[in-house]
Amino acid sequence: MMDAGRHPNIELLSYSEVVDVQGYVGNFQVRVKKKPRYIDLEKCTGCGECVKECPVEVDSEFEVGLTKRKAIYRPFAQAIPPAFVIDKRPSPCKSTCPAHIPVQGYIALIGQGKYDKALALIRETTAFVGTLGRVCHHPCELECKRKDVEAPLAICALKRFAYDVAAPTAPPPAPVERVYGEKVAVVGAGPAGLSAAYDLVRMGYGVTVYEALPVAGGMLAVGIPAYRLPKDVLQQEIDYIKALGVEIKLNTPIGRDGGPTLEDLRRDYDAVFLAVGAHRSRQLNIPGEDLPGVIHSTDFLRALNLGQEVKIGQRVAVIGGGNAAIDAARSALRLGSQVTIVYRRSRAEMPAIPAEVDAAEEEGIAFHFLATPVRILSKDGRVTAMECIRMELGEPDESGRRRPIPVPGSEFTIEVDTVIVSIGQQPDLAPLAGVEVTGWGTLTADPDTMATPVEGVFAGGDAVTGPASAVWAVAAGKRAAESIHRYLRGLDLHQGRVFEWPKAADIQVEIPAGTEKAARREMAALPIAERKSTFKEVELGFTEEEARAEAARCLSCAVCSECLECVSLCEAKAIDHNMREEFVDLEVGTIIVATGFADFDPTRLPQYSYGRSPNILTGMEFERLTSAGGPTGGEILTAEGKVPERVAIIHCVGSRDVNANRHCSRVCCMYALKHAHLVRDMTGAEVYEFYMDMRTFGKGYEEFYERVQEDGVIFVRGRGTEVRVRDDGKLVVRAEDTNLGRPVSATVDMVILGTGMEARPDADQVARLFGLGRTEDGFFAEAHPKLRPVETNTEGVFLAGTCQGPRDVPDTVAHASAAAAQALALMSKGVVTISPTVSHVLTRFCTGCGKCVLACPYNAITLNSDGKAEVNAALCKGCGTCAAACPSDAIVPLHFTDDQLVAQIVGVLQ
Amino acid sequence: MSEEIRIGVYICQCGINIAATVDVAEVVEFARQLPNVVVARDYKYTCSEPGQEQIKHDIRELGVNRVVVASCTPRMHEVTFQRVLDEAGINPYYFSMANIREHVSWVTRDKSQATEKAKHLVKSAVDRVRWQEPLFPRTERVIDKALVVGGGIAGIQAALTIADAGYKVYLVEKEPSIGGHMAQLNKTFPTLDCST
Repeated sequence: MMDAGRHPNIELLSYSEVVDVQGYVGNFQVRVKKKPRYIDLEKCTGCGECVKECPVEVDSEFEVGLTKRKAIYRPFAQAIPPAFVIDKRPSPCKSTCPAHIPVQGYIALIGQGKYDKALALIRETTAFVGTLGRVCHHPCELECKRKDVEAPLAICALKRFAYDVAAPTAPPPAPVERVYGEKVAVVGAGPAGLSAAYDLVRMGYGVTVYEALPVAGGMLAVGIPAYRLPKDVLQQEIDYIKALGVEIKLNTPIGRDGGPTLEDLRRDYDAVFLAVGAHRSRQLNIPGEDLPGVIHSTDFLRALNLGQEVKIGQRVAVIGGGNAAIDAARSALRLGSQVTIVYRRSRAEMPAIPAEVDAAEEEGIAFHFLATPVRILSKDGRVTAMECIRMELGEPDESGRRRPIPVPGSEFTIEVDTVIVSIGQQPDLAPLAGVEVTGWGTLTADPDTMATPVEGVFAGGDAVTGPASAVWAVAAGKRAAESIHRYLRGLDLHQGRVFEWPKAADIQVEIPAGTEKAARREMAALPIAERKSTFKEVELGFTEEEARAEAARCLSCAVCSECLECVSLCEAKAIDHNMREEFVDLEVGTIIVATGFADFDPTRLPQYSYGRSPNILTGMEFERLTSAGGPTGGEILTAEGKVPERVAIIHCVGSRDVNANRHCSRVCCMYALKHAHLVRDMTGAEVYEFYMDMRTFGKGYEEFYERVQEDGVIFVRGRGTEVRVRDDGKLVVRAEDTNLGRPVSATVDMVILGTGMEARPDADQVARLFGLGRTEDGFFAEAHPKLRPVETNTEGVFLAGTCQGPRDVPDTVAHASAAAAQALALMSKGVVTISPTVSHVLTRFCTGCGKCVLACPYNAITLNSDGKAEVNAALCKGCGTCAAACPSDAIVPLHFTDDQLVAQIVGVLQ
Repeated sequence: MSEEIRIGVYICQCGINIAATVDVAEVVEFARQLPNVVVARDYKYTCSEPGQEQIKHDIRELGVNRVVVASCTPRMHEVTFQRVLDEAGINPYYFSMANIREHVSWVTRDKSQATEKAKHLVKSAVDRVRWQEPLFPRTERVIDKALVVGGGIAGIQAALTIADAGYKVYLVEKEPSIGGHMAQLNKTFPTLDCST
């Protein structure tokens, strides 16, 4: 191993896979994917400091699950290369989060009580920690894998906890140093605008945010009521952004009321980000809408949030089913009114967060589903009632929800004195002269880069998407910031960016064995009575104990949580969490496939009870138990830490068995004898060895068998048929002793299963890649079972070791040496003979239709510059598919011409 | 191609593998009557050194320029006989083979049917070889670098052997470290020495 690692002629591509092979013997083109190690092999000294603070533990592959390793790890002490590696996989939560906050990271840090670090980690992605921790619609929780155990994690509440426990006491940050001379104007101080400003200022740009309202925060400040998002939380997060150096100009609208125009901003700044939101309410378009008792939820909530006097009546109807409707209803309730929500679809179609709808109901708000107002009635200019019509649901519309259809003659009247309309919002784009507007009344912008058709102008948030959730606005702001940075630096807006993250449904996560159910924690809430009269925050947040317990439920789907603790510990600065996979193209003359075998998984034979007792071990597990570097430091101990008194070894588990593999794995007899010897030698325990027949065929093997017999091992000739786990933990092995001709059993403390070898699960994929055949047992097929044991049917590709069939170490070394010799023979000769029995194009008949090009399974045919088919003789295998496909008889497979074949056929028939 | 076509036909007895079922002498007699056949012979093992020498002799002495061998499957000995032609100075693609073992003697015990089918196959091969044309193999350069896929003991052994011979080797390993299963083993039988 060491020699291979430092041989000047060997280039080691570890953590890499061959993904494509083209060409032919002597001239292969191979593409290799280098998986991101997240650690620079050149810099890593292998010191192991990084491991200390890593919060994630998973089963160690090298110790076959007997011990744990961290997410950052070295497979084993003598690993080559000696560098560490980070095991990082996609996780449903981070992938689903529009802003891609490293969810698992802050949850792991909370679990370890590192609340400051959890807050800092979230702030790497967004400044709105306490805000999103309260108002986010948390699509991550819908996809959290823990839902398959019992319920998803309370991710949103944990984010809030990180803020609540760590932010209020933290000192304000120092301003960020300017790196670049350019200045960026942001229009709108909502979540999109401020998120872009936050990222840009941290990159080192000058940022000025223009805000029309007297407060910053956009809809977070004037749309969401204080009982959901207390003013001080939002203000503190905005202050944090300002402290970094972002300038916010309040009461400064763009393009109206004397404020600067978009043209002014384009002139005075190097780039502009438009994030004006969607503050204009949609109209009902029904009679009576202009009455003074009819107000819009945006106006109502804005006035309430700005502390202005708001007058509403005793009986309030809110029209709509979105979050703004619920916010308006619950706010009206707190002002002392009786509130009814009228929504044209049913509860299931409501776009509002379900928990908010539940809370509204708890607080005593009434619901009228499947109804819509047709007219508002009045007396003396005051609203007195609202006439509604019942609806029924028809076919789904373009939003995927079923379209409501009025039921004729079902009109009814509700007595109200105030109507709050909340049926959607639009951006107000009239003042922004020069921008392009879509048919939906929103701004035109590239959904990936946020670039608008206007040079240097970017747009995002509700102004582009229409009303959406806060976290989408944050995500848009972040994308825009990256695009603006690229624009200002003259870089490509797309290159190297990931716009499409893996879908949660496509992410395979295995729930660790032994995961026990643990109920999801819910935050305590203010009593209903108190809620009805005040705007105090309803949800009270987690206690430290609750948060730690909730964090402990995380399944660590991504393995590495990206908490970045390792980065600060690495003195060599070798860790780069942004590393991407790379592709390397190689040109080689010969290929040796040495992909090895898979250990048989004994859970496939339930009679052996593997997994039902920790003292039933596979051969490889026992191997680790005897190793000085293994989990017990080389002592043979049961899971209870005791020296076993009796041990049973069962041969042929998964081999020579029609219910598993029919082949003999060839190594198990010998390793079983070795294990028996080690048990006798190290513990003195009684050893029962259940064997079918003893296959000790190698040089020195029979002598070894004799020596183990002399060790006093008790040999029982007969297949071990069953292992039963007794209530007291003892293991009972049953077998038929074929010498005695009767069933026997042994009660032992430990069972070692002589698990065999089988083809790797990815053998099919590898076979296709290199053009290999497979034998019935699943291993790769050699060209001839006796005479060509390392060659394959693909010339220039050789097999070495157990990928071709089970073999032990000495045989593997011999087989690999043979493969090397074959490869060397080809390379030292320097030339290879190419068979002339290939296809030949009769150019004068070829019409250049290209049918042969498509038909050729070896990509050997191309159309040349004259538009005629041309065969690459080195790639052609002479299969003749092209000749059959050619409509003009213009391709002849040499040595299989029509004349030759006809003569042969006629000859045999005469 | 105006040269006269002179075909030599060689019926192999394959010990008793063919001769016990096929009347080899009758097939030889049949072959002699076919157009362009200048010589037809049978022999115990045509693939043996004397069998090969006979073909070479007929090429040199009788001017045979097309060869048909009726024996086993071409997967077994086509290359053997093509080499014989090459060594005797004839293009190896002037050769045709009739499989009268796997396709005849091994699949029936009926001697007369077997002999009849053997004749058909010989005629077919003789008719075919008349149309065959000389072909010339090409050579291609071999890139003097090797790829070894898998860094377990087999891959390491192969890579080191090739590298020691002075050739460049790319060793690709899927896992973060080479070593494979071997690195997990403690002591290896039968000598119980350390594996890493």
